Amino acid sequence: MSNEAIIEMKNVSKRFLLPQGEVTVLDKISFQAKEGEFITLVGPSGAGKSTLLRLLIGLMHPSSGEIYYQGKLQRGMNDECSMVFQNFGLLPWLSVMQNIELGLEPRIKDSSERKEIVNRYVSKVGLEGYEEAYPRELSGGMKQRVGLARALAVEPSLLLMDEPFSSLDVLTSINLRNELLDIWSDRDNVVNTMIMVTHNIEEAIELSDRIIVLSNRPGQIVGDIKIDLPRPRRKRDKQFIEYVDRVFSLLA
Amino acid sequence: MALIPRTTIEKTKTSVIYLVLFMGLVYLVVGVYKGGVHLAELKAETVFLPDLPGAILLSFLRMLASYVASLLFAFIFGLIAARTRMGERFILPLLDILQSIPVVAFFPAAISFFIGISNGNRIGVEMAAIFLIFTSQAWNMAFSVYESVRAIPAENEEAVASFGLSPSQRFLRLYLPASIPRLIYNSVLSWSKGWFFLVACEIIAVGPVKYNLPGIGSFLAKAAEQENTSLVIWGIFGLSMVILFLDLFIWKPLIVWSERFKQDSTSNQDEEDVGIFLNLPKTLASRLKFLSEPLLKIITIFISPIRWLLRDIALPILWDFPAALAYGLFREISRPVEPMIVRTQKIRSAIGYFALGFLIIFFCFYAWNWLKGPLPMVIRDIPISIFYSTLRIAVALTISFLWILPLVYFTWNRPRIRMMLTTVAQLGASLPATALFPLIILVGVKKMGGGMDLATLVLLTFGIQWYVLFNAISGSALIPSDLIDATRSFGLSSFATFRKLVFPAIRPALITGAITAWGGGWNALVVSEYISVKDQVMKVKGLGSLLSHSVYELGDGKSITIIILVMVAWILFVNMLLWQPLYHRNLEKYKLS
Repeated sequence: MSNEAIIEMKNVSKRFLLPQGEVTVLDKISFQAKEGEFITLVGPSGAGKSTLLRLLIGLMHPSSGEIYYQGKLQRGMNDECSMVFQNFGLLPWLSVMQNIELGLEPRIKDSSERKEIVNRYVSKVGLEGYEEAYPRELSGGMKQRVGLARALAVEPSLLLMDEPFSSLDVLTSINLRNELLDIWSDRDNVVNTMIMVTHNIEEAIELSDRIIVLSNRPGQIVGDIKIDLPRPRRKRDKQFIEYVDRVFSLLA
Repeated sequence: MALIPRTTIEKTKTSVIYLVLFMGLVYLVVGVYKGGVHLAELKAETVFLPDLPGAILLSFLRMLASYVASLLFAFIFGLIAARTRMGERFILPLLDILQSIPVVAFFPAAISFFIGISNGNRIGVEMAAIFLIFTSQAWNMAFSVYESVRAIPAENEEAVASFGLSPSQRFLRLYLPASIPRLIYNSVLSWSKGWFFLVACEIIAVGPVKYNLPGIGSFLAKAAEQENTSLVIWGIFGLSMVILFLDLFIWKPLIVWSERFKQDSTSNQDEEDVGIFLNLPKTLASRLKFLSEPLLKIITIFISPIRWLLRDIALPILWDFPAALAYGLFREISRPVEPMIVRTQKIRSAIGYFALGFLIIFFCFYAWNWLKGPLPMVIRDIPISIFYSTLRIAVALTISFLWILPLVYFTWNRPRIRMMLTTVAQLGASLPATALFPLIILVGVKKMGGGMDLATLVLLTFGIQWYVLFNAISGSALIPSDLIDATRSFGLSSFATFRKLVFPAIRPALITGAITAWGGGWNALVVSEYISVKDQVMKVKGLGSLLSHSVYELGDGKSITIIILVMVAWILFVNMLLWQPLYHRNLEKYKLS
């Protein structure tokens, strides 16, 4: 694991103009993500966690402050990032294959080359046999596999995830969490840095190297906790429970 | 609850500004036209039965051209309205106004612009006719694109944006497919409206200028002039066959096909939004699958090279390039919209207000000059004309209710009969009532000696009853079965059940039907209050005939402007004061959730 900062926020604030006036959603956020890190963002709803992810990828722009990607000031969309969405963000009129292919279209002109990549990721996330299915025919867990495959297929160096497991049932999300860890630790993959938003503290401790805790609106960083536990982590371990308590006390 | 919702007032304010600006434009255009274009009248020839297929083909091609133009318009303006703040503020009210302006009001503009610039040759006249059909087709389609794009879930939008798709890829992958279901429903509606006005649009006349284009509309008109009833009936039959064919083999399969483009969760919502074609029977479509499936396959084979051409060549040029150009102006089209844009917004709205202020000053100056001159004579007839026309629509609505309510009484609990009724009604509604005009005039007025007042009423009722019928039928189909069972269990008589359950349950739908009929009625009124057969004009007192008179006989811009202004203001006024409050009150009280 190198110590290069892959992405960095410097004094980033985000304000929205709403009918009731200007609202500050994020207030002077500064942090770095190092290459190879798995970071989770936790905080109460309305803390601006999702907004923060959208700023990182370039879907939104900071009202003030800067974002640096590998030392370069970032403007516009960052095409070395990709994102997994809470409600999957799949297009209902595209099949599983076509949905995964979507992100490759602007990058790779040759369609047979695209198909090859798609097939590789279809098998990586366990979607074999569902290639021609449409999203409406899939369960929530399968849909999120498509979302994950689509994000991985563009071979990003930074993967952003917005509550990827929160609309799934408990068993499905346990399975997917383990697979995500496998993907993250698999050295064959390009992507080894991940930033994930969650409201589930145990999920954050189970998965990440570092937890960044945001306060209620306006969102500010109130805690940055390194999780020093060997993997696989067990929820009933004493240390695990101590971490849960620490994060809880920061949120309360 | 306030009597009139705030948003209605806001919308009306913008609408009024637009109306005023639009009228200024009409008057300017008419002024230009009066300046000099003078055209010779095309010879009125005799028509025979062998002319019929050619006439239908020409009319169909005209409709097709207008439809393609409407599609382009719908995508461009629907997207701008959906994806920019300015567009939403300004394009939506504009479309609202344009929707309530009768086709006839566009005649002067069509003549002076298209025929004027082409020096009166055939192509110019064709363009004018296509433009006129376009004005009856385009607006609701633009609305449907707007609504569809607005209904795309934010995450889908973000997902597509996050992969950096180009504007044309984004259009093909996201906006186009998302628009398909509503756009197809609205296309059916637009084709109906197009056929309805086609008959009026093939004979273009303003003041001394008159044009006939060969087509089914002018075929029917000439056959009526020749007083050849069987030829008129043949014409109506031929047209009906074409419409039936299009309905069964193009639209029904397309509607089934469009199912796959619906968002997962909103499949029921979609059907509620599409106005009179509320529940196109899917059973009929699925029964015809053995025919429509191979047809679709054949169409696909033909379309794939065209699709390749469009997708890989035309779209990148036609869409990416202008999108790149428009990037500075309408940034949001090619970029994901943030919930609010803080800094740029103020600057942009300042520019908007400046432009609007300039236009208003310009208009006031010009209105002053205009008012200085003498007012046209027709003004005196306006109040009484409004009264007659409103009365006529009210009577036509009453007639519709009088036969539709008993029909609902007999069919609401018989799904099979209701289904058949819907199919028949759809075919009836898609046949243009205007095609029947010559027949009604020939047989009803001339042979049987009925008055023109009666004929107008019949034509009007034919034009607007469908709005009420579709809404009533679909409303009665949505009554939950547990409510029916509950009412039954008390042993109520069938009349009591109708009075206590069915009628209250379909009230919001009936009001929706009445509102739509009110809007559409004025358009139909203009065509039915004033009919010229041969050199003889048959008309009744009313705002519609006053407008037709000003367009066809006087060609006077000032009168046209004033009449349209009054008409649209009256439509909006009644909408705001009567229909909207009525609708909201009823929805609150009788909503079945």
